[in-house]
Amino acid sequence: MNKNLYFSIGSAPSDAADDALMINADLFVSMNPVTATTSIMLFLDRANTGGANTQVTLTHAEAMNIDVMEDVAIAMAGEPRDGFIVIADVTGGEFCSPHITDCELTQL
Amino acid sequence: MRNTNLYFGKTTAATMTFDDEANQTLALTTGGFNDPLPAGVNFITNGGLKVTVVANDPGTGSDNQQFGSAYGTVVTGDLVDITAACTIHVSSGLITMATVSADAVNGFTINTDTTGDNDAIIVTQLKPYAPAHGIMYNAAKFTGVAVSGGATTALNFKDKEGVLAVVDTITITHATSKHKEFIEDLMDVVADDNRVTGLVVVRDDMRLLSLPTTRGTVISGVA
Repeated sequence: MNKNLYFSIGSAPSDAADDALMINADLFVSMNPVTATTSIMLFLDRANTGGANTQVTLTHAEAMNIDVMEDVAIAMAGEPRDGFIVIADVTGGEFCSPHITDCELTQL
Repeated sequence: MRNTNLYFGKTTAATMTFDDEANQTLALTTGGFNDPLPAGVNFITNGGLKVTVVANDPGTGSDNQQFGSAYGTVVTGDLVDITAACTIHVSSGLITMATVSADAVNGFTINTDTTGDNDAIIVTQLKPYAPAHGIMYNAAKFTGVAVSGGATTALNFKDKEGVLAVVDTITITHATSKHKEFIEDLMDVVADDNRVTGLVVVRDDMRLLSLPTTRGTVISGVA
């Protein structure tokens, strides 16, 4: 199944470059804590530069890094018919984990 | 096949012990506990750490340690989890233990007459919160395995920083000469949709969790 992960950063309106991202789940490599309130998802580079990666930083409640990782993993394991999986849509207020509060996209 | 992610908890739980405690606060330090220090006022309530004490002469006077009603009958030598009495500063790592007079249910009051009796108050990390503490890898980015020692196997994944011709390496410690058995146990889980729910803990040194094994693999560590 071809799955894609969706993120938005909360801009209103969400209509500028890099306000949102959908990335193929097959590009996901890893996720780890950064601080007590942030965890980062790393993907193989969406722009296919071969020397960088695409990064998504999720902000969440304190000490909930592992809980968010579990929720992200479960979401990615889902099999929605359209393959569209929302991880963190700040603009739309939809998150795969109740602990996530914000999202930042870098190195797109 | 569903997406499977593998989790590796790479550090043991940080602990810091306070002896001869003379006040109701426990000051975590980067050298004594963890660097960085826990952050956020909800860190404790969200299960990030626990605080325990070995009771010493509990009672109701100033020359006793005093425990709130939630702890029931406490006697000397009991290991008591007093996490519910504790709050933490947003950034300094300073933990404050509520007294029984402030919180009759969950409070804990040190022995104020003989502070030398307030030993073995231990703060223990329960969850990862820094990059070194743990990492989750997409099983689809698993590139191979190599024996790396008599009781270790190296798992390679595509580099998380996106660098070509580089791999990330996670080293698992297991029973001696059980390399193939470990790999078989790992592949059993990765390949079987009926046994996974998304995140598979291969080894977590913090929570002392390991992948269930059936071949005498005895996973005991990760680096």
